[in-house]
Amino acid sequence: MRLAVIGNSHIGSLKRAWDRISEEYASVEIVFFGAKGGGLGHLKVRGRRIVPTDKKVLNSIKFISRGHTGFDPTKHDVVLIYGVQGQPFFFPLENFYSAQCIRRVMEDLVRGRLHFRLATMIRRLSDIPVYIGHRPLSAEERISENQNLDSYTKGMALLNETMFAPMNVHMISQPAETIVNGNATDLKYTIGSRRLAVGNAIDDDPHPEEDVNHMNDEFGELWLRKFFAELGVERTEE
Amino acid sequence: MNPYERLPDKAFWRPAIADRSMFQIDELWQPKFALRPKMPVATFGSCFAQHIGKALKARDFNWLITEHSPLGMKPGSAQEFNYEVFSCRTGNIYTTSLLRQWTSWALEGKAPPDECWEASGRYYDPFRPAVERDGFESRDEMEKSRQVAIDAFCECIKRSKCFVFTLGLTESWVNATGGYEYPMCPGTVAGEFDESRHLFENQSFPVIRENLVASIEMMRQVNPDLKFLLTVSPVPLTATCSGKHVLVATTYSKSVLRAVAGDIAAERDFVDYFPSFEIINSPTFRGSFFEPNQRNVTAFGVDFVMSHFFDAFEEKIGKNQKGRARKRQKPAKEKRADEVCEEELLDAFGRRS
Repeated sequence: MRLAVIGNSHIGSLKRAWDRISEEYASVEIVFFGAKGGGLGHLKVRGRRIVPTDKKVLNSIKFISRGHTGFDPTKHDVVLIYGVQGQPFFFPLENFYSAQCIRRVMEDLVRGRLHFRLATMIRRLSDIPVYIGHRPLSAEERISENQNLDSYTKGMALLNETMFAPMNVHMISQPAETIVNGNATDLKYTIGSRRLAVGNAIDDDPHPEEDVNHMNDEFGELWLRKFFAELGVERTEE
Repeated sequence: MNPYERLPDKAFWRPAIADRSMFQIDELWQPKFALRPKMPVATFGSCFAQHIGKALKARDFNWLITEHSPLGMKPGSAQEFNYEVFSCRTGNIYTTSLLRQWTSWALEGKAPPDECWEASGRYYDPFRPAVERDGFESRDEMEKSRQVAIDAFCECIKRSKCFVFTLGLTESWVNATGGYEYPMCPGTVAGEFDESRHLFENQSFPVIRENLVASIEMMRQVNPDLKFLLTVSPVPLTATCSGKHVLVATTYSKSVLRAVAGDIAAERDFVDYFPSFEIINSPTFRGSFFEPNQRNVTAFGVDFVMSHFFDAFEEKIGKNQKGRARKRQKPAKEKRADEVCEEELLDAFGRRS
C-alpha cells in the first residue's frame, strides 16, 4: 500500500513513529507531505497534481517527502490528511439542541477548514480513498472519574455520516486508550514531543513543556497502528 | 442661600451641556449600586439589550450565560441561532408583559400555551419566532428547545446578582382567547394572522408598570438580593399599528417606557435606571449616533453609550478596578452595531414607491 500522509506540524509524531515501526509493516510505503502551521493553505490544483504556490512550503514538502514537488494522487493508493485544522465533533449528550443547530456545528467544524479544502482538492483529481485524522485532542491530566467516550464516538459517527461520507472521505478517531476525561489526550503523550523536521535549525527540537497540543512518538505509534488496523493492513510475520 | 446655589454644575444646562463639546458631557449617571467584575449579570429585553451583554463580556465582566451554544459552533453561527445574544435564548423580550410571561413560566411552573406555527413542514415557536430562522423539524423539538430556554431563564433569575432589562415597546399582540402575548405579530416572522384571534394592544403606563413590578417581585421572591438595572431602547419603532404616524407612536412608546422605568427606579433602592435612551436620543447629541436611516444606532454610538456605563461604575467601584473597567471594546469594523432584531423584519411589510 502506497500511503501519502499530508499534514502540518502534527505529522511529526506520525513520521517519527513510522521510522520506529516501518519494519513491522513491509507492505506499506509512506510518503509524508508537510508544512508547519497553515503552510498547506498555499496549495492548489495544477493539472493532475496538487502543488505549492509558496517557495517556503515547496522547500518544506521537498524536504519531508524526499524530493517531491507536489502531490500526485496516481502515485498513491491511500491518502491520510492529518491535523490541518481537523477537529472532532463532541455530540452534546447533556444539553438539548435542535437537529439544525447540530448540523450547523458540524458544518462550522468542517467547511472552509484546511483539511476539508485539501480533501476537496484531492476529490477533484481522484477517487482514491481519503482519510482524515483530526488534530490530537488537547492534553490534560486525568482528572475526571468519568472516562466515558460516548460524546466523542457518537459525534465522530455523526460527523462522518453527515459531512464526510457524501464525499467518500472518512475521519479517523484518535485511539481510545489515549483519551482521558472523555475529551482530552492523556498528558503523558505530550512528554518528549518534538517538532516536525522541515529542514531548518529547530528540526526535531522538543516542543515547549507547556505545549499541550503536540504529541510524542508513542502517540504517533498508537495512532498509526490503529489506522493500519482499520485499513486491514496486517503486521509482517517475524 | 437658595437650593440652586448649592447644586453642582451638572444640574445646570449651560455648564453641563451648552459650554461643552458633546463628547465632554459627563456625569450623566451615578449608579445606585456597584457592578463588580465578578458579579453575574443577566441581560434581556429589546434589541439594544444585546449591546450591554457584549460590552460586559468585552470588558471582562461576568456576563451570565445559562444557555450556551454547542461546542465547536462559530460565533457567527451562534448569533444566527440566538445563542449568547441574551443570557439565554428567549429572543427579544420587548414588553414588560412578555417579561412577566417568561417569568411566570420560569418561576410559577405555568405551562406555555399549546400553540405552534407550522409552515412548509417546519415548526415555529410563537414566543421565539426567529430564534431558529428556518424553524424546528418537529413540534416536539420546538417544545423541548423552548423548555431549555425557560429553564435557563429560571437559572438566570436565581444565579444573577443584577438583572439588566431593556424596555423596548408598548405595542403588543395578544391572543384573544388565551390572553397571552406574542413577541411579534403573527403572520410577520412566522404564523398566520387572524384578526378574530390576534388583538393589538398599545399598552398604557399602568399596565406596563404593573407587569414590570410583578416581574420584579416574582424574581425577588426566589432571589431576594437581586438588583435590577433598567434601560429604555433608544431605537425608534420599525413600524406602528397604532394608527398614528410612526414618529408620534415612537415618542409615545419611548416616553411611557422611560416614565415607567424612572418611576420604578425612583421608588426602589435595588432598581436603577441607566440613560442609554437619553444619550442616543437627546438633541444635544444631534442624532450623531444614528445611521442615515435615523433608526439604527451605529457601532460608535453603542460604544459611546457603553463607555458612559462603565465610566460611571469606575467612579463607583474605585481605582482598584480601573484597569478592568477601562478596557474598551475593540472598535467595530462595521458601521452599524451588529444585532439580532426581530422587530426590524416588520420593515419588509412597508410599501415601497
